[in-house]
Amino acid sequence: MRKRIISTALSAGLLLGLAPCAHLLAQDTLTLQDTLKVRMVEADSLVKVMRMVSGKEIFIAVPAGDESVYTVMEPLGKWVGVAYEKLSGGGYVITKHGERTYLMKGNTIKADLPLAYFQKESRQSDQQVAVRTEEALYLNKVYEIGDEHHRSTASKVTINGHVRDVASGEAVPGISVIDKKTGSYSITDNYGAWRLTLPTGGNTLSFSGFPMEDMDLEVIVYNTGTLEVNMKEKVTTIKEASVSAEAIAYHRSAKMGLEKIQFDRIKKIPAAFGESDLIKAVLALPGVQSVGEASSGFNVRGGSVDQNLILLNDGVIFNPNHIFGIFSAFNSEVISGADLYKSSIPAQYGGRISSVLDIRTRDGNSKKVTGSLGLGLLTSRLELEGPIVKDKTTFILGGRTTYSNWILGLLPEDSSYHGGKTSFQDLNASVTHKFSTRSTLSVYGYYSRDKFSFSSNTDFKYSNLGYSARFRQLIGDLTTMEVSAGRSEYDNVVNSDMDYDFGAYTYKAFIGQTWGKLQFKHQFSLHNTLVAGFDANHYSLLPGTMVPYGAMSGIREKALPSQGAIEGSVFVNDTWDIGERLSLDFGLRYGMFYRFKDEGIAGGKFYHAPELRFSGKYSFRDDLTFKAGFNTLRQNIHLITNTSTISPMDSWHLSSPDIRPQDGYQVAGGVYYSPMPNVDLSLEAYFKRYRNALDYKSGATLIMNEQLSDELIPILGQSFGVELMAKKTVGKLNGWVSYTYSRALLRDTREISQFPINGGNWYNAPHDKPHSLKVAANYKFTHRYSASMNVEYATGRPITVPIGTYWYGGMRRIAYSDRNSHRIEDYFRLDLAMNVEPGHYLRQLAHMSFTFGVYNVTARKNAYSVYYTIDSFSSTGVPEGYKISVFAYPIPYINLNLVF
Amino acid sequence: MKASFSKHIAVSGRWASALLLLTLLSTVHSCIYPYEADLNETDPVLIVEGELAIGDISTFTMSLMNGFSRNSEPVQGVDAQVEDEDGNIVLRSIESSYPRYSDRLGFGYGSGNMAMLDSRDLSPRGKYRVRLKVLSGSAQGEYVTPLMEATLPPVIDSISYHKPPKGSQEKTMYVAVSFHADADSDRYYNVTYVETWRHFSLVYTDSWYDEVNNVVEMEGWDNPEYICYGHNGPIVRNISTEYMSENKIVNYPIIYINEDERKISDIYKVSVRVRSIPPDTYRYWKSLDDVSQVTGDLFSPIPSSVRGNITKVGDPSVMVLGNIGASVESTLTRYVNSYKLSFYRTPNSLYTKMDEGTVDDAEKCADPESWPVMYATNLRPYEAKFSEMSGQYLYHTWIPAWCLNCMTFGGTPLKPEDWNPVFD
Repeated sequence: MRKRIISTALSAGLLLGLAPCAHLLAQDTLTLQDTLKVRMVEADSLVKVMRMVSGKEIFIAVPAGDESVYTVMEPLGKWVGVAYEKLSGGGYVITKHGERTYLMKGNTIKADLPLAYFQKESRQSDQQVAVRTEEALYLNKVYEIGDEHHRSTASKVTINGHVRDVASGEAVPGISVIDKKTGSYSITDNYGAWRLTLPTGGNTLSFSGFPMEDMDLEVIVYNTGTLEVNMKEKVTTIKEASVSAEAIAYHRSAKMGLEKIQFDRIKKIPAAFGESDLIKAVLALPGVQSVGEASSGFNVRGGSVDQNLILLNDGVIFNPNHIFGIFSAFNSEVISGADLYKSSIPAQYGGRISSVLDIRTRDGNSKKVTGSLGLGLLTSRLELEGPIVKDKTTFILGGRTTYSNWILGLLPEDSSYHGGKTSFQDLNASVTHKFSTRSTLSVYGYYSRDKFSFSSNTDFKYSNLGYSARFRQLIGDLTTMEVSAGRSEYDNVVNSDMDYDFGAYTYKAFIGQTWGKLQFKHQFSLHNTLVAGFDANHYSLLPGTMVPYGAMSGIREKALPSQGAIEGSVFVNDTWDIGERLSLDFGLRYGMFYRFKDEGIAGGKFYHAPELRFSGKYSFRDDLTFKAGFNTLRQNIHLITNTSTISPMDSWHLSSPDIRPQDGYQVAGGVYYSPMPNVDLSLEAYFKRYRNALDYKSGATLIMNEQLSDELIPILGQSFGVELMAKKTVGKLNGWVSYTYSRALLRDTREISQFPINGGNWYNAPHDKPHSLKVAANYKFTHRYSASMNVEYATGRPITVPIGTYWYGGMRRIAYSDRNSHRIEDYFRLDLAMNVEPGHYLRQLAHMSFTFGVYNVTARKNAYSVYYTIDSFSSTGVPEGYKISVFAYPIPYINLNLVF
Repeated sequence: MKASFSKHIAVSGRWASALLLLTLLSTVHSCIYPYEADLNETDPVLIVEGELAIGDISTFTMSLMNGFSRNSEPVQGVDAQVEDEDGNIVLRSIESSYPRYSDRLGFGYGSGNMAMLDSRDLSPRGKYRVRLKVLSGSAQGEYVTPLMEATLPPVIDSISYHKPPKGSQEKTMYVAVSFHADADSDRYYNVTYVETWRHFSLVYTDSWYDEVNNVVEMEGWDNPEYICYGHNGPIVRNISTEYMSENKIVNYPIIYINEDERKISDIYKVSVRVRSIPPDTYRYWKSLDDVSQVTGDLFSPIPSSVRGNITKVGDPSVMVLGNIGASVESTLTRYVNSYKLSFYRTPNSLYTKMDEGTVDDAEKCADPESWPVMYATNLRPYEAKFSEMSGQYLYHTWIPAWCLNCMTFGGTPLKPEDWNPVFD
């Protein structure tokens, strides 16, 4: 049964609209033969007139979304009867109890208890009673869940619902829902869904979380039911204490190493040229590093860049950056948030051994068409969203483009990049349809393209393409089913040696992944939830093709054999709360990978192994918790690179008879303490070890190499660290401070006769930065004005330096030290920004917000790369050192965002 | 709505323009800066350079790399031998003495750091191992290569000279090499070239100053520093036809020459040797080039030490730099003279500099008392000034001595033993 609550404004309007009728009815001269004309009114308004005409108590429950209108023009004596007929024709069932008449769609009211109501089997009949859904918008109101006349005999029942933004109708993830009576809690998932088991009777539910304004709702629980909650965005500074979703995650959940990044927080972190950036927000978290500013990818707890699974609406993104790392591939205007799993990776994720970054886009405003236009110094973006069918079907469309060639053209002529060109575009599109509150279908699409050249000799292009669909269905009250499928593709093209006609060529590489996933989540009880399912992937790779470029080229066409594989996994994950203090999370994933036979190579290769995921927590008190976890993971796909960052020449390869899957484990433990509401302190330590990661022999040819495995070295990797973090999630001042001490080491385990790297000793990974300090802070002066600060300090990354020079082959050559045995200077950067939000003028058609700030305020010339050159015919023998700084000066920026 | 939008965009445009200018001023600087690293010293590292040249004389040169505080120094006392696949010694070092230089051996070889073997009779079908010995010093010990199969060379089709098109502003020409091999041969090559050239001093004169008698003579001077021979190389280039449709290289540029380089002012010679190399050797040379030259790019490979194929007997962990292969080489030499090349332009700056140092003062130049002083200050008699009136030579102008010395432009008056210009 659905009872619709009509807003005050709407009610007033309807009453005003019916005023003439009321006046008519009041006239003493109205007879039974006079025709009463009521035209095009909704059902509840019609019932109001029926009440006035008949003088009887008539009640109606109009389902949400039912905007049917009725016209009744009959003599007064017949008018009420005809009105009943019209409503009956509209699907309403009329039930009379005494003097009261009830009209409902699809259900009836039973005044008598069924026979054997008090017997055990009666619990079954409780579930057969239609679930009643409430929609909550107002605080000063008591909401009834379930049917008052069919109260459950169980002491506790399960209720569920969604939290949505009242303005846009979009789901709001990360909202904590706590029952103040029992302390049971839930956190809304990416669909805004929550579920609680509550005692019947009166309860107070507290809804809180950034960026919404806290709500406490009084509810009376009669039976199972749904409570759809609409929250509004916080405008004024919150003063009262409330428990944040982060604090819940710390002290209630056994998961550790999970960072939740939300859309509004992404926008507050200053970034180069003012472009709010998801990857920059990720890099501000402890345990996440990059090798430098202009570097694609990131490193999580010592893992390499290809060991991170980056998902956009369940589809894999192979290169998450534009313009060599300055911008990420994700348009922050369409992103709702992201979850970064650094250690306790749930069993439903697999395929990479270091981390998972799960990114979701928004569904779009379900109330009206809105959008935003962003203008920056290097990029512009346009975003449109809105309902196709109000409150049912929504779309969101976002696009970005860049016009950065002007800045390269202004570089000095002696700069290597003068006259270079670079550009990118990306496009996000999605359509979401809600069949009901219990089932949703979403379709997504994503495309990005990059193109750049720094000289007349070479130009690079790469693109990501992804499309997917996801169907989500609530089965009963306790089970959720989610099925999704899609395809992800990544290709890169390089045109090189264009100055030497005879040797000019075009190199291409491609990877495509078709995937499907089916997952069930079932809540056995308040304390036990099970997730199970399976997923499958089909990989198709072209590791490299080379074709002539230009009519004069003598290059022969060559293509490395294509690679193909299928990968499937079954997984199960159980979360079990044992009492108030202890929670355990067990997960098991079994992965199978079959690499098809390449052309000309005999036999395929089958790899399979289980992966264990376990974590547990013990809360000494409500504000003090200890957690520990152990994960094993495997990876069947490898990025082949010999540079410190992802380069356009890199290609992906699948495990094979010669290239074994990477596998590893991580052990982690942590202490979490919340000394006061909304202030969370954490100390996490971890140790990781993995094998079969790939490094390369000195001078290896990684491009177009049919015997690639001869050039690669299986490497043992090891990393460990301690992460300290203090976080304040709400209030005028919010943000976090973190310090991490960590090491990332590699070792070549070949025999000494094979000249292993650094003699077979442990050596620093390219992303090893022992000390890291990060501060991300935001201060709200008023609801319109806020300031943001970002500070980052890290030990300089390892490099290999010259130890001498010598003549060889008629030229002076440089001899180098052991790999990564030295370090560049430490990295430090301070960014400041001022944010001006739009005024909340309801009548204004568009709202403009500004962000202006300075990136790298202290003008530190952080070294991205250090290299040495020597005049080949030099007689002095000392190489000259140079460092490249990507942002060598303070970069002021302004970003204008127009929301309409 | 339209008016509201326009207003917003106009306001935002003003803000954007102001900060755009500020950003331009702050960002348009080069982002490459000098970097002084704390470069540690290293223990001496042995460097071995050479090739087992089947059908020719083989040389192996050894030196020690000492880090930055000291230059590399030759290793004194080396010996070499070649063994076949059964371990039998098939070649031993020979004595050598080369007072002049040649394209292969360079200048003054025959000193203690070079071992030489006569490999002219070695079979190109065999497999060989080279064993080197350092008899004393910090690198004392034996060093050995793996067993190597000799590779057969490609055929050098041509050495060609390529000037910029007529009317072009370009002032650089290049020398290119073309060669080919069987389709099923290895596709990796080393191209080694040596440049040798003859050039003259800036100007020529028969006049000379007799220091003993304090007399300026007008003829009879055989200026020993009038003709010089310059030399550059051997320099090795790494080329692959792996991605080519044919096992063939056409007009691959190996040397770039500017129009004012002295080497093309008279007779210029290029000697090219091409040999086929195995993939491991190609990778070695490629990585040498990469870590020494192709660096600093955003996507450059991470540099690392490049070992070759030489290991120390008894301790393979000892670092030895260098790669030795066994190969038969193809060679081609080409001479070209300046007249035919028609590209060289003497820089005007040279004559300007000469004029600035010239003394053309009649009184001074005609006064024998000033000649010793002028001679001592590196001036030399050049051009005799003739008087039509008197029918006599009045005096000589005196010019800086460097104008009459070909070594001003490098090289040596020592003629290479294999200098034998034959023109096409």
